[in-house]
Amino acid sequence: MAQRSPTETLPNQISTPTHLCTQCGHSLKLASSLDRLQRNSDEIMSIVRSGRPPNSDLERSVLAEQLQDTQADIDHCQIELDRLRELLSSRIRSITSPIRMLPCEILVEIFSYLCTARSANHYTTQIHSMNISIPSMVLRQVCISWYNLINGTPALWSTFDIYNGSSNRENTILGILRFFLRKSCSHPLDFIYYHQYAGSSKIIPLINTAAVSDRWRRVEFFGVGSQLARTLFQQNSENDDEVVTPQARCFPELVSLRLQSYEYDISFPLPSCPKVKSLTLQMLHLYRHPSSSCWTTVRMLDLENLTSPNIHHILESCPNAEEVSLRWILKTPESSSQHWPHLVCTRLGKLKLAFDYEKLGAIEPLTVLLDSLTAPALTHLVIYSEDDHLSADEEPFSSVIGSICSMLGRSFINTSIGKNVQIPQGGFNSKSAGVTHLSLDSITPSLLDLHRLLAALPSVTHFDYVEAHRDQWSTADRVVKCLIAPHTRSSSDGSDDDGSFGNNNVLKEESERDYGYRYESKADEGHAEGKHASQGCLLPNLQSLTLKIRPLNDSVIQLIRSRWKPSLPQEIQGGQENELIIHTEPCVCLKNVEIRVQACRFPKFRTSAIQELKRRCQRFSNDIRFEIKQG
Amino acid sequence: MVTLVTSDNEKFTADKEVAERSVLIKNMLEDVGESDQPIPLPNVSSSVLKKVLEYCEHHRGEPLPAADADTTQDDTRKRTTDISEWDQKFITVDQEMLFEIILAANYLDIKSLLDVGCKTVANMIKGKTPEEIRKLFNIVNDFTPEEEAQIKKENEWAEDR
Repeated sequence: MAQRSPTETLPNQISTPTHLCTQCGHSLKLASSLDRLQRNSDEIMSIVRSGRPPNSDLERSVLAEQLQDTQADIDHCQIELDRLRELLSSRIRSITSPIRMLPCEILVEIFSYLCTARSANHYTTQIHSMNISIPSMVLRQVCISWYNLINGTPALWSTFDIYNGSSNRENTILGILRFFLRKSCSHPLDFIYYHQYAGSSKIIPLINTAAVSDRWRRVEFFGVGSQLARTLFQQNSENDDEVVTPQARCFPELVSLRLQSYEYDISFPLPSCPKVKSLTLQMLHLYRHPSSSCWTTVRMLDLENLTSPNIHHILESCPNAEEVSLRWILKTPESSSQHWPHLVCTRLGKLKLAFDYEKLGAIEPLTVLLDSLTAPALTHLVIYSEDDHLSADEEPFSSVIGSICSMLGRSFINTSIGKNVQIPQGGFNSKSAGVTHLSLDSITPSLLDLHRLLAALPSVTHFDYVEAHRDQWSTADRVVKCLIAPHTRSSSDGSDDDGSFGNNNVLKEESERDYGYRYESKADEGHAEGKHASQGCLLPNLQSLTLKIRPLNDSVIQLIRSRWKPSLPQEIQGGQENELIIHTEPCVCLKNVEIRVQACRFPKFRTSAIQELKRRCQRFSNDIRFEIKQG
Repeated sequence: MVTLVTSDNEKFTADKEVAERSVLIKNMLEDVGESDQPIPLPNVSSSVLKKVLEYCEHHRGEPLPAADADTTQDDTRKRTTDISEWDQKFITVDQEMLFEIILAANYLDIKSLLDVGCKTVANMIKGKTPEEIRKLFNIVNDFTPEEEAQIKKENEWAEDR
């Protein structure tokens, strides 16, 4: 193929058409005009040299016409020269463009952010039509060097989403899929398959052939029914006659597998996956064949809509799981009556528990399951809710808190834990210092449950709390007040550093009037305050606090002051105000505080609450690092 | 303190903790041992080093990626182009400076800064047509008609099969 070179189009080099690209025809235009100009010039010169004037009207009109043609040719040449000049300067600009400084490996790194992004990103490789949104297709059309680079990098063709929605697009999808499979060579594949088409698909047989399934690395299947599950895990689709046993199926490169089913009670033996690290199972149970060994490589488990016996079996089969997330455990007759044998998850470091008020049926099996677990390496505990319909019924949550405390008691028998936690006999020796990171997101425990939970977690150094969107139970207020460390002379009235009061009274009035939020009065808190004082400081090792709450400036300031140990000696001398911050309870000083004020829910406080909080936190900023913003 | 000398011969002093966010500088200091000798950085200009040190200062104390960490081994995590608020503000510079920072991060081996730079460029490209990308980066369409026909044919081939 003929290549264009910028130097070939330099105006002063345009003498013959051979100096220009024969593909585009630009040179011919200019050359023919130049030829004609030269011919006209020669003719006129010969008339000039003859010394005789034009002697007829015809001759004069011919000369006038020639003059006009010449002018047209000159104009044409000028336009062509301008165009070539612009072309040349754009090419020179391109040569000196900053992006050309980047070496290929950095360009590939940039492209990989675009070509391997997943569906959370709108600009993804969604294979359903050859459209603009396929990044590798778009990028390779920019210039020849990008084209060659992208075509020659299999990794950029190895991530895609397949939407199998209808039969009439299936051929298109197959075409693009084959194109990607060819371009990705032997590179491991990361893909998401959305199965929405009920008919017999040609796509599954293609991605399920041994040549392709041997390359599966991070794979997610959505909409898995029993038929699809059987195809994937029980039969070799390359040859329908040859049905292989589940044990024979092997995914040698598979690292992460997600299966989301729409049918209950689908259960298959997990094929051999020697490298699998992460399993996400939603309504689909994969069990371990009695003859096969444990899945020792699995580190992350995300289990949703499974029964507690299923979960118990999976946890037992994954002895090295480090992160476990449990959501919506299904209730079965045996889950409430049967007590499972104790299961020690020796490497479990992070446990995420979803608590959904709309799925209260999931609470009982969760408590049964937690009652059988021991996690001596647990360091991170996350309890969260995803639904917005918060209930006033706190009883179910109470039982979960009880089970969590009981589990912590068994796991960390050697550590000091709260008085309310019942430690069963024969507990297990703790291998870690206890839970250091606690996150409560959008849950609404009662004050008593909150105390029980926090008292069971004395090692926590990092605590995140996110207030639920429609929390009408002042949980944020409870959480903040629970964390205030007791003092000898507490400024319990929340008075400001400069003696003024904060905005909480106004906030209370506004929120009660406009939003129906219920604020607890001091009298309401009296019982809890007394309990609090008797229990001592909750989370005494707290160093890093993140709150995403409504504006509660007075309580927040009280909390910060109670956990502040000034580094400068003069801070604790002198003034009456400063005497208030001397600690009697042993607690670690806060180091980092991040507060995201959900001020948007309280328009009057949109800016003022944040500004006020920033101003009031200023005095602690020598010792505590603050990040305060609208959340 | 560590003294760094840029390509335009300007000297910068930085805390050892800050300078050592660069794996290159960290390794150099380990090799040299205790020394007051300035470290030459012939591939980094003073304007770029100033920005790089600003980044390192802000992220001082944050954990560094493990020496043997390989991104391809981070199998179970998804790649995103999310950038923190501060980093976004920091990297809001003209294109020439942006690419200079990326090159400096690559040379100095500061992975987190390289990631921020690459993500920023990826975000600039995201959602654009080939023509818009060319315009954005001053890239000329240098395909020959045959090459353009070839790409068109490949796209049609992929769609028709």
